[in-house]
Formats: sequence, C-alpha cells, structure tokens
Amino acid sequence: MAAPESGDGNNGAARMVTLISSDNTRFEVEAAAASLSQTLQLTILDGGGGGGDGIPLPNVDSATLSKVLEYCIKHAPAAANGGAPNATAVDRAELERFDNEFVNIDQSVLYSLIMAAHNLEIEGLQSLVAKKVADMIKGKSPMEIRRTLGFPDPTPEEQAEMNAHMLEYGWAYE
Amino acid sequence: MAPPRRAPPELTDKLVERVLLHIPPTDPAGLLRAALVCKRWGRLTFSRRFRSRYRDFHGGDAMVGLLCNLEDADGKYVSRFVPTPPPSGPPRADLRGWRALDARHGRVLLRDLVWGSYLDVWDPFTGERRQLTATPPIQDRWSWNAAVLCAQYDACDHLVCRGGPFLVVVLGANDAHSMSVCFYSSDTARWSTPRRLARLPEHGVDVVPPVLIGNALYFGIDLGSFTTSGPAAPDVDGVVEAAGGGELGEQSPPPVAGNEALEAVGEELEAGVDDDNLDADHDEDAPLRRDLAGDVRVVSPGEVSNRQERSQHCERPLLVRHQMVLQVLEKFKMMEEVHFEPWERMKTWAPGKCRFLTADRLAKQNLPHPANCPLCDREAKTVDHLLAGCVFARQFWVDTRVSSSTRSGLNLATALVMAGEETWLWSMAGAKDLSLLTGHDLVEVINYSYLRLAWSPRVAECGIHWIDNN
Repeated sequence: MAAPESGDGNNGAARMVTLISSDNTRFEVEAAAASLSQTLQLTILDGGGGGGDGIPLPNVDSATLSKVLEYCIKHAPAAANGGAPNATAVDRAELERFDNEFVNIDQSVLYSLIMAAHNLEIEGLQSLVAKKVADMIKGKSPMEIRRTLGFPDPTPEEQAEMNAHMLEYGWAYE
Repeated sequence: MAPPRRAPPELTDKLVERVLLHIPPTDPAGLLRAALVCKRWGRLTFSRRFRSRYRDFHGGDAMVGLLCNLEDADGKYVSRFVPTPPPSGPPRADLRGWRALDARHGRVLLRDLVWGSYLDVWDPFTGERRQLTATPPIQDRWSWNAAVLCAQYDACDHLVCRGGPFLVVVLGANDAHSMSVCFYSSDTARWSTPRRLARLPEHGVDVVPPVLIGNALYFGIDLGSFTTSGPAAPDVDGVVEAAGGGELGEQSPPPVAGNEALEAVGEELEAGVDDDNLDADHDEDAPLRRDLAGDVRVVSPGEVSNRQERSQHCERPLLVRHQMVLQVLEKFKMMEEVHFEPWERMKTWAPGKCRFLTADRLAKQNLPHPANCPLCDREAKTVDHLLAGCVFARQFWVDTRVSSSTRSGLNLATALVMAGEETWLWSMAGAKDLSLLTGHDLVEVINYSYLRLAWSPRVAECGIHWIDNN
C-alpha cells in the first residue's frame, strides 16, 4: 500500500485514501477516484484520509458507498484527463455502456445513490441518476409518477384536484 | 412490478430540479405532467429560476414568440410580435407600417413599408431599434430579400449577443439580368459593394425568411416556377459548390459605399472560390449555367478590416445560397396534389394534442383566462377560432402550404428562435453534416418548426394557469 504523500495525489504511484461508511466498513480507494467528490476533494488535498485515519461518511452506508466507488473508479481516469480530447470514441462508448448498466438497479438503491451523490457532490453521478429518474417518469401520468417515486397516496382533496386537472389537461396524458 | 411502498425519498428541491432538467424540451407535456405531480413540483417547474436553468441546460434553445406580418382592421400592414407565455419574455408589440423580413440570434429585421426600403434591426427584449444608415444598394426595389445575423454567426452561442454587432445580408435583383448579394455590418455602418452572383431567375427573389444552416445562408428564389412541373433550372440538382466564376468583381455596379475593406472582400471572395470548391473548368457558359445554384463566400467586413483578429472570428466564411427552397417547395407541391390539408393532418397526427386549453375551457374550470384570442385580440378564444378562424391561424395554414397560384406562400410568418434555428435543426436532422440534408428532411424540419412555433406556447400557458390558480 502506498504511503500517503504530502498533499500531492497526482504523481506516479497512486495515493490511496480510506473511506469509512456509516456502518463502519472501510474502503480503500485511489485518491483520484475519491476526489470526484467535491466534498472529499478538499480533505484529500489537505492530506486527509491516508494511513489509518480514514474519512468517516456517516450519511452513506456500505452498500451505497461501494456502488458510488464503483462509479468513481470507472470515471476517475476520464476525469483525470480533465476533458482532454484524447479520449477515444471507444473509451466514451465504454463509459456510456457502463453508465447504462450502472443505473439499471433497484429503486431503493437508486434513491440511496441520489442522496449519496448529492451529499458527496459527485457531479457526473448526480446527472446520471437524475437522468435515470427522468427516464423512469417519462410518459407517466402524475399519479403514476407519484407511485413510481413512492410518494404517499394523495389525500382525497388532492385526489379530487388531480382528477379535475387530469380531465382538463387530458391531452397531456395521451 | 408492484409500486414500492417504502418511505418516500427526501428529494430536496435541488434534486427534483435536477430530475426535471432531464425532461427533454421536445416533450413539453412531460414537463407539464411532472408539474402536476404535486404542488411543490409544480411550483418548482414554473419558477423563474428553474426555467432559466432549463433554458441554459438545453442550450438556450428557447422560443420567445412569433412574428407575423398581418393586415390590421383598417387594412394597414402591421408586424406583430406575439410573445410565448410566460410573460417574463419580451412584451407583445405591434409595429405598424413595418414588415418583418427575418429574425435570428435575438434580432429582428424590419422593413419600412411606408417610405420604402429602410431597414431596422429590432431587439424585442429591449425594444431598441437600430436603423441601418442607408437603404441597400440594390437597383430593383421590389425583388429582394434580406437576412439578419449576429456578426459572429459562427463563433458565438447567441445567448447574450443580442445587442452586439450584426450583419445584414441582402440578395436582390440588381438589374434586369442579374442578382447581387451585399451586406451591411453594424461595425462599419455601411453597405458593401454588391457582388453579382447569378443570373436573375425568372420570378426573382422571394420574400421567404432566409434560413441559416451552419455557415450557409439560404434564400428562396423563383418560387413561382412551380406553376410548371418542376424547378426553373432542371439542370440544377443538389447544392452546387461552385460560385459564379472569376467575373464577379468586374461586373459589379459602382460601389455605393466602397472602401479599402471591400476590395479585400473581393480578394477573399475569389480566394475562397479558388481554395476549395471551383472545378477546373472555366468555360464560357459554365458560370451562367451553374450560378443559378451557386454559392458566394462573403467575408464579413469586420473580419477583413481587422485581419489580425481573424482567428477569433468565425472560422468559416459565410456562404450565401439561393436554391434550397426550390427543393422544399417541390415537396410542398406534391403534398398539395394529394389535397394536403394541414389542420386535417394535424388532427390525424396528434389527436390528443388538438385539445388546446382555450379560454372557453379555462372559463369552465374557473381558471384565469384571457377574454380574447391572444393572437388577434378580436374574438373569443375557442379552439375553432384558434385553429381556423383567427387571422393568425389562417395565415399560419397558408404558410404551411404553397399554392401553385400564390407565389408568396411561405412568406407570411417569420419564426423567432432566439438562440438560432441551427440548434434545433441539428437535433431534428440528427445528421452531422446539414449540407447532406435532402429536400424531404427540410420539409420535415419546416413542418416541425411551424407546428412548434405555433402550438408549443399553449402548453406553457396552461401550465402557468394551473399554477396561478393554486
């Protein structure tokens, strides 16, 4: 294991950091991957998370964190290039394929991911899951959207209101 | 799959917005349905902040309204700007005595119908009018058309350039025999020397809004030729890449506002032709035959007078083409032959979408509604009026079909797409190279644009009404 190096996560041997999930599972990842999170980036730049310390993430459980890190590890090389145009079409297609499969998951996991991506401020992942949710509600009626997203059932009042609007805006439901 | 019965995720406003951003602009009903999910989603969807984000996220390709050239009750010409709801956009405006020739990149090109050929560039957001310092140096006062575009037509995202430098390009009959192109730059405030570029077509230049695709500006010519069985120049097919040949400079009429920059334009013009697209043969009648469908490369004066900055300017010279519309109209003629009726077609095309939220239906629900038709201000807003009775609607339908007996078919309405039509043309075509578009594609594009221009505002409007009421 590479020893933490003073503040510079970008040279030669990959620097590793340790992240600790809410249920106390430790994950060791390359600093470059963890740095996709804006929240973690500063801590890591300051040299945190190395050695035995670890960065505690009280809002993220281990199942979600492993999923998040899967994404980060896959996307870290592309992000490290800083959008440099040397990514080939093949690379991009591969990432796209990965993304598509990545969000093909159970809804409860997806929700956890949304929250985790939001808390950790991982821009790419936030977009990815938001797009997935948008796809999920595509073509659905408001009621179906509520069900899909697990909203509580509307009160009778709300239901009457929605029915009235559904009659009025029938064209939007076809 | 059974609907999940777990506790709802705590989606913050920010997260909901993120999700809503991913509903494509081509699916306004999707956005509306999302807005009806609950009050919070509705409030978010129609908040000014979200709309602004949504516009930015989707490349600023928002339409702010329609321009329509009408006759008012007294038979006077009026160019009417009808903003797309919500009312955060530019205000509605009636420009009496003016005709909108073109609109692009947030600028509207107006022609004075009372005093002659004066041109103004109008910004509907600020109301600012910039008068061109002179009338275009075109000899024939009747057979010409003009386009307005951002001076950085190729190098700008056109999101904030509205008040900035612009170009006006005029294609017109120069004398009895030829057409010329000339341009006006707001930087130099003068017209260039007209460049002769083609033999005058039989029916002249038509006042159809020009179309900018990539760096090529297309003008409609010779639309009257469709009284016969085909285009006036049957030997013309596709976009010919050659220009009129080397005689362009010599045969120009005396410059109206000549200066050293314009000579440089001449060089550019010929250099451009030599560079990449003129075939080897220079035989005598080739230019005449070809130039009916030719291109001319026009370099903006700003570019020439400021050579050291050229690299920052548009990379590609502006091409002026004047042939594409022929293909489009040929298609329209075919549709007419099968008794193409747009309203009928629309009913078939999207029966569900034909339930518009008109004032009578709003009134039934006690929802706020305008008393009169927002387009013509005259009659009650019922669906029949909106789609068939309204003077605007009638013109709209005329616009979408070109009668073989009416030369002026497409020229009544000018679309105003603030971020430039290029964006959605690209997405419509799904093609990497728009020059590969066929006439059929363009018909699709134009059909699409008119439908969208005319009807998508209704969707936004009803969303707003719902929110206002709650």
